[in-house]
Amino acid sequence: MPSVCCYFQVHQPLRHRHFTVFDIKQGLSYEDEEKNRQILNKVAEKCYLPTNLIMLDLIRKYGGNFRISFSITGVMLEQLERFNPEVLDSFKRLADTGCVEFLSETYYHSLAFLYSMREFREQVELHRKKIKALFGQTPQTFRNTELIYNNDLARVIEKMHYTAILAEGADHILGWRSPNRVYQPAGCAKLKLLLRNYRLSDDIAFRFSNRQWPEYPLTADKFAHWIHQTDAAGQTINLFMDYETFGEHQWADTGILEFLRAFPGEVLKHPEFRFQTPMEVARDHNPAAPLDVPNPVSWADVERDLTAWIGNPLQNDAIHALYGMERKVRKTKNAGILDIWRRLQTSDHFYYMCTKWFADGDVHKYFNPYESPYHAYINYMNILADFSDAI
Amino acid sequence: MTVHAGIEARRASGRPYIYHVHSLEFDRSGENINRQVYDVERYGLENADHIISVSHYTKDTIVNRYGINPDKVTVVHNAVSRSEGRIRCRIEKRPGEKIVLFLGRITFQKGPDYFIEAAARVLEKIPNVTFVMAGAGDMMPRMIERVAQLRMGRYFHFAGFLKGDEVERIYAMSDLYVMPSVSEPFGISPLEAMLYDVPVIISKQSGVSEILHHALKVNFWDVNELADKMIGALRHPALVMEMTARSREELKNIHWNAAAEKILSVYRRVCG
Repeated sequence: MPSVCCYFQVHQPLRHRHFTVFDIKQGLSYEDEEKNRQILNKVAEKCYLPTNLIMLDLIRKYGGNFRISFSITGVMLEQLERFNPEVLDSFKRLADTGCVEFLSETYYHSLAFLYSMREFREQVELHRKKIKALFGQTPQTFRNTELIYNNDLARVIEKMHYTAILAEGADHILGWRSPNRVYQPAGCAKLKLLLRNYRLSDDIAFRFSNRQWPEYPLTADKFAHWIHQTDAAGQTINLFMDYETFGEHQWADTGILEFLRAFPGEVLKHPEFRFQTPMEVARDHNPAAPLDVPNPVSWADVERDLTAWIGNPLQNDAIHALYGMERKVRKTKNAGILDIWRRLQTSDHFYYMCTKWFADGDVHKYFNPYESPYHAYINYMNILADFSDAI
Repeated sequence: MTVHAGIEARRASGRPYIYHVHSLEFDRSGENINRQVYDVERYGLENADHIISVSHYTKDTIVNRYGINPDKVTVVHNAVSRSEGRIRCRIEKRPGEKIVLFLGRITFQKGPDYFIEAAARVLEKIPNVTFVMAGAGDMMPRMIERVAQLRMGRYFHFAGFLKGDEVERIYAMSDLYVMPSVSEPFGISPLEAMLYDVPVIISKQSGVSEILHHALKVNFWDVNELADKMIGALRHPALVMEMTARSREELKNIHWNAAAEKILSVYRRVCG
């Protein structure tokens, strides 16, 4: 029985305030509270509230047959608690249906795995506790920040007793193999690896409203037809994307919400197909083969590598300066300072410093609150200088 | 000022008259324009068969301040010449010393006063910086006075008007180039600095900012912001490395041949 597995990433960074070198040692906070509140509430209106309502309707309509999963970052959950509890409540209502799986990730949406194993484990643990406290679930599936993945990560995650892990179904790791199979990470015995079907996922996430796309307009029955074509036992079609696709990246007037409303019904018209969460896919599918991924792969840009966050001298300088402070930060034994240091780890801060303008520049620009990567870097380094002074 | 000659030439020859705008009275004088000069410019713009401006910044002024139909204005950005036998000058500097350069006429339009105020703020944070102001102009005496008043004399050099290899030398010596122009139709000098792998800070009130992605851009009046970016560039080698490497790539696509092609196509269109 083929499965359709949907996972949606829910994240908003804590954007920094404009911080010049003259603001150092003035006792200022780093985050732009007002801007973060505004953006969160805007996206809540356009995406989180209406889409959660649709999801809830769909789950009720199809009984247990429409099932989805979310990964919500810790910094996002904190913002919802502070700025918009209504959205948090709607996620809790989704959790109460029993048809929604909540995934594990680093609390601060960080790149800690690449720089500090201790810090990585602690952030995953913090996030696990938060999910348990809010939604009453102990996560079984792990997804790393920006779907960054390699063999080493899989081994660590297996030792932490997860049953499944997610990664990008990138061509260069798959070769001729299909992303629609469950794999065994190289060096693991139990952990299952689920890979994003980037073609089908991006048909919704990126191409949905593109009028130049030959398949425009994308309808739910057309999309379901493509899914049904992969009709083979033991397959799973993994649709992984930002949750903000619905109503924010793709505005409501593109018809994306109507598409979503019609989508489960169209998929379920075929009696062989069912929706499953990652944990359920891992439980019901045996690995087709081991998969060896020695070098980190991510879901970003055409390169599917780390260069969106750590590809140029600015990013490398900033992130090394940040993780170089770990020992000093821990020595303070001050929970407040540790939290501030961790907030500085959110990967978005490094994404803003990306200078790959020409190929993927436009999507970077869309998400970048700074005028240029150089402004982003100077702002971040000023903040880091202030923080360094504080410890 | 050659407007009347251009219009007369058209009358005599029966050929179209194209006005190529490199600077306007608003650039030179801000809001306190000389009415006579403005009237001549306006007369020339209104009567031109077509107008070429060196930037969108200048085109906007032509449209908004002179009431010209935007369809009549084509933007052709300037470029930069590479001198053939340019040698990389090996310059001796005191260890750890950083040089920040302002090069241009010392007049209202070029914003030398903002450079000096920002320099004072930089020196609050970094002691070992030398500021070089190269050029001459009517604001020079006032600028020297201001530097003295701020007690920055020993960090400041007024190099006077430089020419030829002196200019190359000073570019090669510099760690940072700043163009804080109040109103700059284009501004070729940042491109020249970039040829010497010098990172540049330019005002947003300039035409050149439209074509540069790897320069730091600030509003000319925002002294704090300018000082912050100057300190950033002086403190962080990683920033300089990335900006200059990317600028080198960007410069490859900025050359006079492309500008000439574009101008030629305007001529063909107007004449054809």
